[in-house]
Amino acid sequence: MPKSKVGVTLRIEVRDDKGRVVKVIETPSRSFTQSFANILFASMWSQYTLTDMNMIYSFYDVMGSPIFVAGFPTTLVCKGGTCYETPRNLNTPPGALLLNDVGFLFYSEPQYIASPYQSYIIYMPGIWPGAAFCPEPVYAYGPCSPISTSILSPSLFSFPSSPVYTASGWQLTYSQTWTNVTSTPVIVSSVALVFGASGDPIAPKYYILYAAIVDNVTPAVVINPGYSITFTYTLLYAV
Amino acid sequence: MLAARYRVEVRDRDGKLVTVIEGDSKSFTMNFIKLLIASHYNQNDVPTFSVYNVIGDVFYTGNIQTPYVGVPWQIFFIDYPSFYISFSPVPAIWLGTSSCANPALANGPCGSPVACCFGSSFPFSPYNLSPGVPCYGVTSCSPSLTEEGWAITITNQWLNTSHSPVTVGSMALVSGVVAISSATAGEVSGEVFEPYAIIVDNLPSPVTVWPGFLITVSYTIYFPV
Repeated sequence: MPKSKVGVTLRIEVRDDKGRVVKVIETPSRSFTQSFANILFASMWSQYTLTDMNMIYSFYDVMGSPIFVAGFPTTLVCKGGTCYETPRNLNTPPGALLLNDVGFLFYSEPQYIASPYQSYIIYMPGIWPGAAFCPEPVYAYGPCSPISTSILSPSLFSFPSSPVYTASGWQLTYSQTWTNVTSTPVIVSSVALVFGASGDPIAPKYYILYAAIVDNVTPAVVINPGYSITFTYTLLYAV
Repeated sequence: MLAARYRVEVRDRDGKLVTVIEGDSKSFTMNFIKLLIASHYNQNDVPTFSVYNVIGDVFYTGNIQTPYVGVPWQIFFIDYPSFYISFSPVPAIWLGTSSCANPALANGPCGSPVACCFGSSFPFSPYNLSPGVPCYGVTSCSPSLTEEGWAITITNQWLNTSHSPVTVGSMALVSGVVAISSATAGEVSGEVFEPYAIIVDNLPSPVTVWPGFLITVSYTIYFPV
């Protein structure tokens, strides 16, 4: 098959402390992550089918913690007219986070901040900056060396609110601005589009943040004190 | 984000390949885009969009107008038993007899639906769709990394079990979401399964499938890497 023609565009704008644009980078995005591909596949199936077919999907959240989607953790065994639940042998690591299925994978505003993320360096869906290049963005969990919100302060994450039909296709635009609130320059070398996901059972601890796309920023961008950087991902769905 | 390719193969009774069509998909549908956008929100502020299922019945995102899907759940759902549990549709690629005026705005394949479901009223019957096959034979069970990016290929085979030739003019990738059909005073009283089209395409020229012939249709969606 010929190469697909449609991709994702990443636009980066750096503005000085007076709001003037000092740098613009526009480049094709390179990498939907392996975690995104796996979570998407997992979302195609019900928890009943995942159980019946003994299918287990795994992916990583932004902290690098493995998540398993495996159907029901127990199965019903009936003997002599008595039925009881018995644990399935899922062969997952002890203490691993298990989901029965995946329902939501594009959450862009959290219903709550799950406890594992409350103390994390960044904890909301958005476009996250990283200080280091990622050796292989397609396998990265998020931006490499995520930059703390106490260094680059985020604006609200802007995500699509209505269908936009263009000559190139349906256009979905995601954008977020980060401002250097320290007194020293900050280097941005990677960036990730991070969504929230959840599934059954629905509980706060099952709200997960994962990177759908990770890109390196080449060359790396320096953000001086008071300067801001705006990341915009434009996703086109072929028409 | 997404580019898709389609492939259509027709084989005669002896299994000999008689037609192959391959091309770039033209049209993710507006219905899909609305569900996708609504899936970014939470229960408190999910926008209300009208969405149409494959036969043109309306349902809504959000929680205000019934039938509603709230925040759309599992918008890429192609789970065979869940499709079949209460009625006859099967996932995932449905065929229609004629072209669509504007595939991006179509609700499903156009003209008469000839491949969508089990039942004697349809000339095509699903072929090789089996509970015993990994992922029911509808797709691979896991993503593959290709030169073009992560690829998801979804395939259906349909056998013309009628006594007449059937013309195929359009095709659609059909997923399904669950909607709440009615609710009173906070009490949910019904769920309906709404099959909807993610992608609709016209074939470049109509394809005739003779009795006993098998048509294999597939979509591959690419996520760039």
